[in-house]
Amino acid sequence: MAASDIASEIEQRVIQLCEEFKQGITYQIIQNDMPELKLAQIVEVINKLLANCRIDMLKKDDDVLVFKLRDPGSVHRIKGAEPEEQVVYKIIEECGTQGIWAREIRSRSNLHLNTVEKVLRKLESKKLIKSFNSVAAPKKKTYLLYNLEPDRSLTGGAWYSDQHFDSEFVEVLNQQCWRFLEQRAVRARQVAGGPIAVRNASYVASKDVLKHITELGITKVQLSIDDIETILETLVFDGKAERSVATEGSQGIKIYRAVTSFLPTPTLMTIPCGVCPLIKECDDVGNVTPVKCRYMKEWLQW
Amino acid sequence: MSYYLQKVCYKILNEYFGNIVAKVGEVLFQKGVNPLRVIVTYSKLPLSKVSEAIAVLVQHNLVTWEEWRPGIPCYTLLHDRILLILRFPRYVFLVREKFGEEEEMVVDVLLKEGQATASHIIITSCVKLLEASDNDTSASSGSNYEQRHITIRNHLLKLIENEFIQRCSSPQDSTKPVPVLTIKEEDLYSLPPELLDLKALQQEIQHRRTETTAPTFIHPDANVLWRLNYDRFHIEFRDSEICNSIVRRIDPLAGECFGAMLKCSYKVSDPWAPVMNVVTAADIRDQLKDLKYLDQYLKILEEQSGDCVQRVGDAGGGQYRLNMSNAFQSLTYILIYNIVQERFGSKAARIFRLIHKNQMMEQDMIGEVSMIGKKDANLLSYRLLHDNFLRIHELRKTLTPSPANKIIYLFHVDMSSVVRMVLEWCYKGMYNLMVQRETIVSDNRRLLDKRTRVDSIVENLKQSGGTEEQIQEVEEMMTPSERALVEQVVVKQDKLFDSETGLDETIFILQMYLYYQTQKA
Repeated sequence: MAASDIASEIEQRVIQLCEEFKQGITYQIIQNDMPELKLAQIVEVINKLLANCRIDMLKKDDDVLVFKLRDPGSVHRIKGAEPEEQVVYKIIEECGTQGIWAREIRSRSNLHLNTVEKVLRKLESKKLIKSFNSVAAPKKKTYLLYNLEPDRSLTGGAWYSDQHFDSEFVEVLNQQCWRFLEQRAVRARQVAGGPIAVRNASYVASKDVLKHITELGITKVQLSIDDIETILETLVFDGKAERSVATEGSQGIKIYRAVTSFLPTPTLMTIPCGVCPLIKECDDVGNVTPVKCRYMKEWLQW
Repeated sequence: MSYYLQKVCYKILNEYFGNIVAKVGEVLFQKGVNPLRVIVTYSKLPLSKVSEAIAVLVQHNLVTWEEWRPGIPCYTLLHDRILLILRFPRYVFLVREKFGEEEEMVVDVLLKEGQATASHIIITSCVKLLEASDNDTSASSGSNYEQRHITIRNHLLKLIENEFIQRCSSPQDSTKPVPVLTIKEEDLYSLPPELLDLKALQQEIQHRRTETTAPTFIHPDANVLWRLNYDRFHIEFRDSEICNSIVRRIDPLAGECFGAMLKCSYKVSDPWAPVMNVVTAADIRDQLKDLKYLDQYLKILEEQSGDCVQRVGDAGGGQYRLNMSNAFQSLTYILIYNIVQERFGSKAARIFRLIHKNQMMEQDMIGEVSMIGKKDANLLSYRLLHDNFLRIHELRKTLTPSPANKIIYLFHVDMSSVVRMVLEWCYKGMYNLMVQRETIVSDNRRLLDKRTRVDSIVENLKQSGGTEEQIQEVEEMMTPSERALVEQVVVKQDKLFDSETGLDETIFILQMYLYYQTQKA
């Protein structure tokens, strides 16, 4: 009875020491603290704590054994797991939201590749970790704790969903931004006070566009101002909008407005020859001639 | 100059002048500058016909000559002028808009003749106008009968003053076997009154209207010929293109501002200069009398006219200058962007604009910045490359061909070669349209001939007072379905003709761009 009491006391003491020294305690520290203990007793206590998964045993560089307190939250999950799984789990946990590649787990845990694979599969089936494919390297399987979300930089941010570039989403956003700019331009034309007033009224800051889009609620994804600005830049490249800068308070912000093009559709494109896929083969002789041209005939029938 | 240009020229000459002239024109185009005998050998036509054909071409300002060997001239084809024939309807339309119907008649006559004496122009236009007003059967024309030729002469003077019509250069020295054409600068646009004998004009007009024998009047200006000044028309077209684009982009009032600025600039600079001289805001204000917000419009024009209006100083309320070559540069860029958009889609247009703006771009960057999926972006950029809108430039870090050495591929746009390619494309399109028009007419020739016959018979019957029954009988010669077919044919022809005119506008912008590019360099 006394022995077990003493043992549990020693356990408590060791645990307290672990809590005090978060970076871990060594044999030295335990001995310094409780000098009356014999080495055998310490070893027993430590083994018991290890078996109960209360502490972790790690090896430092100079071959000194260090004991760290284990997070009680994860205790129940790892209970009954084998030491390899614990090691692998710990490594994955350390990587947080970045995730870790299978090969890296192997190099860090010094385990054999097959072992690592087996362990990963077991952990996955226990729903403790999950895998996903980062957008930068779609072939590498990366592992993450089950309840964490992968980092934004790996999934590509707002434009990627399931590692696919969501072009329809971008299209929809493009359309909505364009419509907003156009409405603003139409309303601006009613403004009296000369052309400069009209022009100023048709300018929209990127902040306002962001507000409008989030109010529309077409998507659950949270968009940042940079995202909106990239969409507005694409409108500039479509020739539908133009960009300018204005000062607000102490900084410059980008403002955009809808514009009409300088020229209407060129006539070359209204005749069949402009859009004909066979224009390079068309000549006076051969199978593709203007006389036999089917596109011309259809166009003239209208 | 190019294969398709030659074919288009052949087609135009064929349509307007006939087969022989077309053949001679083709030989001149292909073989370059040549004397008469050589042309005869190449074209395999008899000497008399060839010389007649060349005379016709000279008459219409399409061929010039110079001395090749002593006493032997060699002829050069002005192929650009042949394309201008397609623009004649636009010239006529411009004159009608700017001046009026009678001036339109004058220009029409001159276009048909190529070169003509002033008397001939006046007489023919008078006769035509009087015939037209006779058909109208309006009584008021009778009173102006006598004075018509004076009004026409005034119209002609006005056109000459505005430099739309100019005097042809004439041979000064009649002793030389190969005439050298010269003209003095001051004679170019002056019609001295002593050249016209008004009484003789009036008599001839009367004679032509009432009698059918050929007139034998002599007019004092038989040696002075006049022709159209194409460049002046082109200035008008050029200005209206830029003005229209500004109106589209900004505001109709901005267009007026721009017009005023142009007028002021013409007073101080040569119309064809790529950059005109400076005009102050005070001048513009005088020109416009009072336009609200003039300063604002000037400011907007400065920023938004595609670099056409540049501000160069502040004296006199602001000094501005018009940069024509920049204006055409931006217009041409937008034209090419539109062409890419229509042909390849708006995503491709986005990529094209992106690459053009950034001069050179890496393949990976294109997909990222344009927000198009990487695969699609690559596909479209390769497609544009295949059709020669884009070019690729390789950058190697080292020359050894090992997989570790990454090669960077940069896309870029070479605008002047793209413009030339599109111009060739336009010529090809023009050729195809003309061929289509020809085939439609020749396929339905029987029907069209029948219709003209029926119409002329009905006219004659009406004039000679035929009965209703006779007219009905004649009209029934053509069934309703035949009439419908003829209508369709006419509609198709008109559609093709309109497209040809529109295509000519595109060609005009591209040619202007190339002209200003050569001016710069």
